[in-house]
Amino acid sequence: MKKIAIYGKGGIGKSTISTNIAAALAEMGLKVMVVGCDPKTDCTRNLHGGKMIKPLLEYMRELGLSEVDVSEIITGKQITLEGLIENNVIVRGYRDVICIEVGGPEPGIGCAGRGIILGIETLQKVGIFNYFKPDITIFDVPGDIVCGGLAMPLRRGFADQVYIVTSAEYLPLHAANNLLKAIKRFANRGGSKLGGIIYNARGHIDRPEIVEKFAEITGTSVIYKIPKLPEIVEAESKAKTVIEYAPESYAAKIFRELAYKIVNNNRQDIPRPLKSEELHKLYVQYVEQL
Amino acid sequence: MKIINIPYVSEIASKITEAFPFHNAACIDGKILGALWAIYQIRNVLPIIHGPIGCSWQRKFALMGSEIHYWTPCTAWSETEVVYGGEEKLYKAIVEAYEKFKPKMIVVLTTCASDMVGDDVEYVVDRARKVVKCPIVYSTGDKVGKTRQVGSQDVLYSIVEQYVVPNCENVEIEDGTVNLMTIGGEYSRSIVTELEGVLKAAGLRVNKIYFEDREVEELLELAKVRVNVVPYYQVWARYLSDVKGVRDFVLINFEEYDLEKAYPLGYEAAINKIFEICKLANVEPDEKSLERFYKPMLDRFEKIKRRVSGLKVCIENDWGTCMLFALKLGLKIEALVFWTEQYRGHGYSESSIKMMIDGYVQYLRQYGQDPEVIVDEKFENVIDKIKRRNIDLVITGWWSKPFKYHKNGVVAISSRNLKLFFEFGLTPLINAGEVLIKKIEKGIPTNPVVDIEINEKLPYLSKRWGELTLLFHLNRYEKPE
Amino acid sequence: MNLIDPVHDCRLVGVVRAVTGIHDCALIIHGRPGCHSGPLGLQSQTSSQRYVNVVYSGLRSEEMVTGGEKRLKLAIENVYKVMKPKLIVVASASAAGIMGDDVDGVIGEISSSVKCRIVHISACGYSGPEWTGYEDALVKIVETVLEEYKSRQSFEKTKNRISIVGFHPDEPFWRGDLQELINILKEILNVDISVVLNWCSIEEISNIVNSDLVVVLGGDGLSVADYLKKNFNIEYIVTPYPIGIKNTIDMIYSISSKLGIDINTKKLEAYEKYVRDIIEDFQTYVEGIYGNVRCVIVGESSRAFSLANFLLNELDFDIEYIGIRSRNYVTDSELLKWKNSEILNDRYELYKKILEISPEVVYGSTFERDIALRCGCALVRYCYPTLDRVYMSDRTIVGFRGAITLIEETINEMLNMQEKTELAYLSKMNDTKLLER
Repeated sequence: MKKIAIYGKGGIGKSTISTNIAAALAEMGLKVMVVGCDPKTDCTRNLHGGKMIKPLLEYMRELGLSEVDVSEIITGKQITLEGLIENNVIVRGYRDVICIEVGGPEPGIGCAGRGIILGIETLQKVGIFNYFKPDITIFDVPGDIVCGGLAMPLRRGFADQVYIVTSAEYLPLHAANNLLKAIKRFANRGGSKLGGIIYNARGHIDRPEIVEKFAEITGTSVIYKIPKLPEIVEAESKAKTVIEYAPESYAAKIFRELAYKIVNNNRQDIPRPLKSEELHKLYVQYVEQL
Repeated sequence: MKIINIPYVSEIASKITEAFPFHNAACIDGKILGALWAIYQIRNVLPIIHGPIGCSWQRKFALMGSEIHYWTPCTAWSETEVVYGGEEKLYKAIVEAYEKFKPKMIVVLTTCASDMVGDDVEYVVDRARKVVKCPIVYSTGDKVGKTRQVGSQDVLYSIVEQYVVPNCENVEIEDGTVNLMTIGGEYSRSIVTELEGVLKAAGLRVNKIYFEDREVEELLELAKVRVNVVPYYQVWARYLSDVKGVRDFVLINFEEYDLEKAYPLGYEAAINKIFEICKLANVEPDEKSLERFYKPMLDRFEKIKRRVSGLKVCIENDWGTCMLFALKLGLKIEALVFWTEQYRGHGYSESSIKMMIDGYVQYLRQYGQDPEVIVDEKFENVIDKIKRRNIDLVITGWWSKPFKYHKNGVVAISSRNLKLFFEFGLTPLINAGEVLIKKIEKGIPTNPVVDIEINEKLPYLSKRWGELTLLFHLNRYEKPE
Repeated sequence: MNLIDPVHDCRLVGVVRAVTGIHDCALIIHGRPGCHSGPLGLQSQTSSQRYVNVVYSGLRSEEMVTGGEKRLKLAIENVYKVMKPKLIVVASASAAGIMGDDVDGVIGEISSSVKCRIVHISACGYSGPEWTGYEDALVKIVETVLEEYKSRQSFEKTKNRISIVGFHPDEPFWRGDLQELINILKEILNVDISVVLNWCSIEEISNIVNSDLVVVLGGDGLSVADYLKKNFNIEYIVTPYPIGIKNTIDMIYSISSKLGIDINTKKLEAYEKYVRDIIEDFQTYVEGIYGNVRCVIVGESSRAFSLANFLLNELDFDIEYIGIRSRNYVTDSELLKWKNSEILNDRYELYKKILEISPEVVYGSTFERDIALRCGCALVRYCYPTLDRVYMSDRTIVGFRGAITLIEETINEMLNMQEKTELAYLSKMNDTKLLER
């Protein structure tokens, strides 16, 4: 059983990549689970086509606010695996990929970090991993790790490996470097280590060499490069993965290769994040060279 | 300086503080208080509250008791910790705590501040374990779901999970050995005074009674018996049962409508429980010895029963213990009064409350009782109905006002005086019976000095406490749009 | 320091203490159940239960993720419906603060449907100590009540009408203290009292604007006096809290001098005679303690220094140490007058100090009970929080009668040491039922 967490700047393509990898792995015959940790609850959309999925935290909230029966006077309302399945918190998507959305607060209120802690701990407690025994679990985590809760998958016992998705623009790289700091902290305390960087060509600069240099200096490597491909966007507009939407396409082939790489990747890098000035200097130099 | 957690509570002093309508009425304790209740029973255990000072200072006094938790050190969060996290501070605090106090165990309690900020307390505690020479346990309140009382359940579970299980050797467990657990404080004393004796009479060996005044090392013996007997469902006991095969037996089952199955009060109920415990402990009960043990008590009980049998009673806002008491003593239960807001305070739905009341009535009917059921009526109407039925005595609910009945010429006694909750066997019934006889003989005081305005909606409380209680229920259980 | 066993609470209890005793005010604590039950317990066990006003907003654990604004809105509506207060104070605790619940926004939204004044005070546990919560809350309450008066140019000030700030209706002897204070002021100074903050109604608070003078007892609530001076031009004086005869006379003379009024010396003499007569009746008891007691004082600044003055200057006690558990704006100047005083941070340090000094009497609260027992000394409860005693009668520690009460309490607690000694011995001999289980 392998558990991976995918991080990266908001909008960099984490959910697209997670869901396509999941679809590719499921196609290979593996049992796959995707846990979406973004309060927007859109991580797994491509796998179930926007089917009714109830966020875990919303279910917990409803249960917690509901009145107890006499039989529950001591135990209170308990969260069970059966309850999660019956209430569409756990749904099956493309090729039976198990989809869960942790959920979270509406924008501008509440505490998303706390939500992620609660959500992931609850899944662990109800024994979801022991029950479904997925070959691979993917945690898709929101943008920047702005508080302790968002780093939950990096703690011991959760993700075995972390992947960072980035493009070659400065800001996504800056975000990636920031993420390396969190990974380094948790790696040093027995938490998740870095499996590598996934390059995703977005925006105006399509220069994987920049990211490769960055990876080399920070003690990791780019495990795959995803080019800009129109099928990815088209598939997403249909709430599908490329694997499902255009299985013969080049894009589908890309994701299959990436999925294969991930399954067979045993890298456990402890990164060496750069200082902000160092990153800026590196970037400017490299862009000038290119 | 030695840590001295004082586990003992004065029964006399507690009579006073018990009258405050706190728990599940106008408030609930919060996980820290529940946790401290558990911690303070064990010798030389130091709590460290990982959060702001308020979470520590306010918890120095136990809401429902008269005891003070003198030692509640904390990591005194400021805005810095809220923004940057408090992990490093916690680590240093644990090391400092050990150097200062040399406790036998440290228990780290998280607060909502540290929970929300997302401090990885598990990691910090692991790191500190390498440096500090005493066991360290952490409790977040998240491990036991909503099982009540969350604070104490989580702490005891955490102690068992993080200290007992990893440290207890794989010894061969002897059949017929049991541990007992009390609620602590002035409750469940009969577990000490009667249950221990009767189990021994049945042929079992009672290893220890937990957790009052136990040493830390003695906690390891929780995993060294065949059965842990607990007053009500305990997550830690069930966990031990799952991982170590040490069975758990629950004395009180609140969800039962069959009152004898719910509460182990009275001879038959007690004997049934003993037989069940013996079965779990793989021991044949020594029935002759049990008979001998109970004979003097049964004689006493019969004497009391002869004196009060046939008395007409009305029972108000009960959870079943007073009804069972009345049945056992041969009293005639003429009326049951329910002001259902009390049950709503526990989060019960309307249908649950109705089911509970119907369940009690059906149960009583099996025993030839046919009480009038009075639900959510005004106090004046209740008095009228009581007088019309020529009721000899009203047993009021925990917070209800006997003096209100006295002012209206009705003899009344509070169920607080009867001390039946969380109890076992015949002793509580005998004690309660004697209290009842004294009350009947004493009658109504000629000039009760106490008189306060009761709340119209919640006649079992005063005006202001009723408002606060109603607000607590509304604010907690109503669903905001 | 990374580990502190606190001697005072966070801002929240300060807010609670500011609201305690205001008859038609409700306090909603927008936080988790523990943030509510503690203050509710403290308030109901120390002050009048007729006016207990601490309410829980209902914030559930699930709402720590989704936010508690809707819950708070519901709570305010419910409180208004059930309690019908004239003022609602919303105190946001740590959970609400960290989540960033827009409490002011909720209040703004609800002001059209809830027709009473609502104020918000941030009382997050990490944002400051108790005394800042007290000062800020009191100012905000007064500010809100007097809002409508701010636009007026002038006020009809009633001559010789004073307002009192710094009285706490949750201390031991509070009922007697209040009565004694009023009696002294009326009988010896012949002044009228506009309001005693915070044992009053919301309407009575608005009477402050007619005051000639605000008297700040012991320095607590100084920020209210400052506010009144700036906005309503009401003069104020800070007097010692009237514990002991000298402090009481100082208070009387300060007020008389500021207002330019005469003192009823006959009444003053009568009070002094009262004290002398009682001391004569119990003379050898008083001689037994006079100049013959080593003591430690623990408490709030406004009370502790006054008590120290009384014990030193009127009873010739040896004040070995004064530990200030909660300060106010005048504490610094008081600290300079007492070499052996300091602001406490940690209970452990206090305990070490007391053990080192080994006094005969500790003046403190219920929380000093165990150290007094372990040290083998008497404990006289005189300050907040006293949770293991009730004071239902009109005994007082204020003024002239108060001096007698304090002497009485000291003597009785010292005499009681014989009982404690006997108990300790019987425990050693295993011959007491007290621990019978």
